[in-house]
Amino acid sequence: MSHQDWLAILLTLKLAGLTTLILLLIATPLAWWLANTQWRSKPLIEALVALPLVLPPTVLGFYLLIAFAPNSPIAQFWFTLTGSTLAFSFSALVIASVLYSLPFVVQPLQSGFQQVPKALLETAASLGASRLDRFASVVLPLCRSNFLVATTLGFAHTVGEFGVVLMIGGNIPGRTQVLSIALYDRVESLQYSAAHWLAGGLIGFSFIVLCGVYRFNRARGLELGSSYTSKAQT
Amino acid sequence: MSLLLSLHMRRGDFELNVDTALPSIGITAICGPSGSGKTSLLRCIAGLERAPQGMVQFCGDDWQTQRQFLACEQRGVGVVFQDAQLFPHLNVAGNLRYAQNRQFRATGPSFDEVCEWLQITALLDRDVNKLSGGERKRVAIARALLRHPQLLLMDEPLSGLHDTARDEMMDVLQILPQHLSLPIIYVSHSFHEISRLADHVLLLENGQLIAEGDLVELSTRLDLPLSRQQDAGAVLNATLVEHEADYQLSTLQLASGHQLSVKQISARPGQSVRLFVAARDISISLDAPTQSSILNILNCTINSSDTNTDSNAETDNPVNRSQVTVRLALGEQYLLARITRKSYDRLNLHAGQQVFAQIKTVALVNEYGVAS
Repeated sequence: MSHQDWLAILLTLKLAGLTTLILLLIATPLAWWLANTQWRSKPLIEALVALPLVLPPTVLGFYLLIAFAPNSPIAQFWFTLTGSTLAFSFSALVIASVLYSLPFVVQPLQSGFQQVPKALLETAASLGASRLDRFASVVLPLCRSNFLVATTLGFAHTVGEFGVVLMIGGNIPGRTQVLSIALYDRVESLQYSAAHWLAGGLIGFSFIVLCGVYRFNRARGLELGSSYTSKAQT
Repeated sequence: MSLLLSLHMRRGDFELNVDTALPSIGITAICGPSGSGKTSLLRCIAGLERAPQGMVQFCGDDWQTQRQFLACEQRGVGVVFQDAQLFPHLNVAGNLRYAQNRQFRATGPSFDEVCEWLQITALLDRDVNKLSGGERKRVAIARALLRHPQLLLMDEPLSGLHDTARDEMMDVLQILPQHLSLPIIYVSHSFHEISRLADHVLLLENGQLIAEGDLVELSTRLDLPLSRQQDAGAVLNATLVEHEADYQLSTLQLASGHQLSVKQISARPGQSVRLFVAARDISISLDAPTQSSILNILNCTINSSDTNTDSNAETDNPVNRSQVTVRLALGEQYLLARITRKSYDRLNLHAGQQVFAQIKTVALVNEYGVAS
């Protein structure tokens, strides 16, 4: 593999890692709110979050391209904030990835949070745990596997994105050229052996990660299953 | 009187209306059929639910007023929920430490003491999902105690247990007030449990407080649902007179001077004890039976019966139509006797009549006397 390929791999890992971190910070409170709110317009927000699941990535990419254009209000706000332009930058990739992968992180978390029995949280409150303490000491450990799934999906989905990056990232090696784009480049220029390395490597990496997740979840599922089903709250 | 409650709440068809003051010592039972609002009342006291028009004050501290609402975690209450609600991600010791790390106050029993009272020392390393029903409840109670609360709330802690486990648990619960100087509020629909555990009783029906007072007094009132229960009976206070070692019996005396023999107990002479006499264990005779194997035959006066009360017609229950509950006066205290309507008519029983109550069994409720 060429130096450029390695740069693309490194950039992809950096992008996916940073995106996942930001996503966990945003999606955790959002998912908690969605899981607990009685607000009537909640489906509106849920639909909004889920949009990237159904839209072709190019649609999101198209609008982001417009939003990131140098004369747009968002880009200008960004410029005054950071002193750099947004178009064709790594930051733009991160923002786009966060939006694009949001449902993959929010949904597993939300379904996990919804499964935590309310009575257990009330018990924790009666034992003196504050709101934040209850979240850290009861919700987090009970939703460990949901966090693992959310992290994995968020990371893997960012690694695998293509359409959005193609629309807004350009193809600058070392700055915005991620793995999927590099692969596309190799195929376009008929460099099949390099393409094989990239594609095969990605398959192997994804497979190993998913195996690990499913194994972990099976062990956790057996342990947790009984307590959730047999002690259903009345 | 130190837990002041004024709670009014409406939810669909259900309406809760309770205005009362509860004692700050001993066990207070909240009793009533399911759907009567017992659990809602308990949750309002715990701070898990908020009655919009409400006031809760404990020992001078405002827990709820018009303006403020103290969250559950700040009230310093220990709650034992119906289903134990152990944390599935922690083992038994982890569940206990969860409470210990968040103690409300420094004064209270130690970890080892609590484990010993509730007999869970051997379970500490166990996974909570592998405990039996009774074990789960014991761990839940231990956990609530380790919070070192200033008020302990228990919501049907014995529900779902089979008879043996229930009796074992009641033995455990009965000794708790001696170890702890904190008031306990105990929600139950079972008169059997309440007669053994409670000092003070609150009776709820359809969200309304229908009666409140000392268990001894309320247990024999024919106008209350307690006397209509299958396991109805009289709770009596008595004093131990002497032990009859030859026969392994103990003689007890009621305030009226009547004496009763029971299977030998460990209390000392002069000590007060609490007894329970089930209504179905009493038969009535017009003259003193001289040749009977029954030891306890008391001369008493018929006070009233539920033959003519409207309540009998209300409870459309064939059992009630074939049976009569008679209230018998022993000085200031009363017994309940449940006999067939046929016998009642044949003996021509009426209020004011002198009769003899033959008591088949007397159950000792509490050897340690009553807290209040």
